[in-house]
Amino acid sequence: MSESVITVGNWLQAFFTIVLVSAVFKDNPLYRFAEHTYVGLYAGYGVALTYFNYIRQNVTKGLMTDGEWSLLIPIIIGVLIYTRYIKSISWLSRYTICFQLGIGSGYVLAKDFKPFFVDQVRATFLPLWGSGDWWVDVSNWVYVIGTVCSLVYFLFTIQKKGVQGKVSLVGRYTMMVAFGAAFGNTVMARVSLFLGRMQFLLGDWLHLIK
Amino acid sequence: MKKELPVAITLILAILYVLANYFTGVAFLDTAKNLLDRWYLIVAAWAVLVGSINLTQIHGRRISGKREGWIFSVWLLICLYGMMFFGIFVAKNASHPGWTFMYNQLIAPMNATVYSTIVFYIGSAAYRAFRVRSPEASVLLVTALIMMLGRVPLGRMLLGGHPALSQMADWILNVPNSAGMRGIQIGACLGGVATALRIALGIERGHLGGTGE
Repeated sequence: MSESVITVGNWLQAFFTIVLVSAVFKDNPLYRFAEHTYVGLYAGYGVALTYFNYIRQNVTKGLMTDGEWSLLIPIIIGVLIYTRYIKSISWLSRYTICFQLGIGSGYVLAKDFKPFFVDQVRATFLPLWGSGDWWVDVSNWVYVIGTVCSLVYFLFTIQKKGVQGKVSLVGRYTMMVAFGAAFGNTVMARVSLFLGRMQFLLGDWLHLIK
Repeated sequence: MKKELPVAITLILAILYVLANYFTGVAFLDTAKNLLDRWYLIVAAWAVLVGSINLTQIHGRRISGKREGWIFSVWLLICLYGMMFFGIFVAKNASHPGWTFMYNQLIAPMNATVYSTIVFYIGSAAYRAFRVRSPEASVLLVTALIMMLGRVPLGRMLLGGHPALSQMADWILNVPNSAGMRGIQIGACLGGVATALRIALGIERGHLGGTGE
């Protein structure tokens, strides 16, 4: 890429970075301009990328070059989603949705159950004593009690009173710790992104830092 | 034809997919599974324009009603269709220099900036949560604080070089965090399975609506 193109790119990046950050102080017309540019470009990018990766691959290569006529079935089912915009035949779009939901629900029933239920339950059966390291034992107790109590919290068919209420409370605190950890990690990730943008502004654009 | 057949198709596909996953080695079921996996992606790809059409409808109404900020809606549609047509008819592939320029110099940096500015909003949300002074909010924030300080040199500096905060952050991440997340995951899985069964059996029919019939 030539030097001038890189310079133009850097100025564009700098402009949009400053304008998008400006919304933190106050909403302004330049921010709204950048926001609409972002949404428009990203949506257009998504459509074109899907065209490159799936539609052209299957229509041009699969159907026309390789002669895979069976591909006509998913293509027709896929196109039926657009009948939503023609009121008299809008019910046809249900075929697209039901096709996706049929495979989707089959996928959940066949593939999600083992990794997200069976394996998770199995992995919770941890040794509670005798590991040789007291800290590992304590951690395992915390792990097992935390998991069981979190599950009890989701039992909505029983009243949360007495022992169940207390167990459910422990579950709520366990989940609060989990949310706190997720929150802390999210903040760190976002700060890291923000530092990256600042490094770009002060380094690549203004050349104030190396 | 309008409701019963789509529901029947859902059930047949779900059963076929489940059978194909449990009875591997049966030629017919293996072929069916491979076809369905591929068809699923193709059908999903064709639906990608629905989002753009919805955006066009929403912003088209703003433009035709000359509502506040309608000029930005015009610009959004120019960007949307400009990028789409540039990609499909000019660039024609993802390695085109113009296409990579648009992504590397505009979309990726804007994406990073938008996500990075969220830190200010979640910061103010955390402050408001802390003002509630409930024990749950305090647990959440103390954990978040340990996680953050345990990941930066400042945390070690505050304790005179001792890695206690970092060790605590690791323990929280590996033990109570995993326990809480596991509970949520198991609950979500059971909910997902129940919903999948309801959809497959035609008990849940909310997705059939929205077509005016």
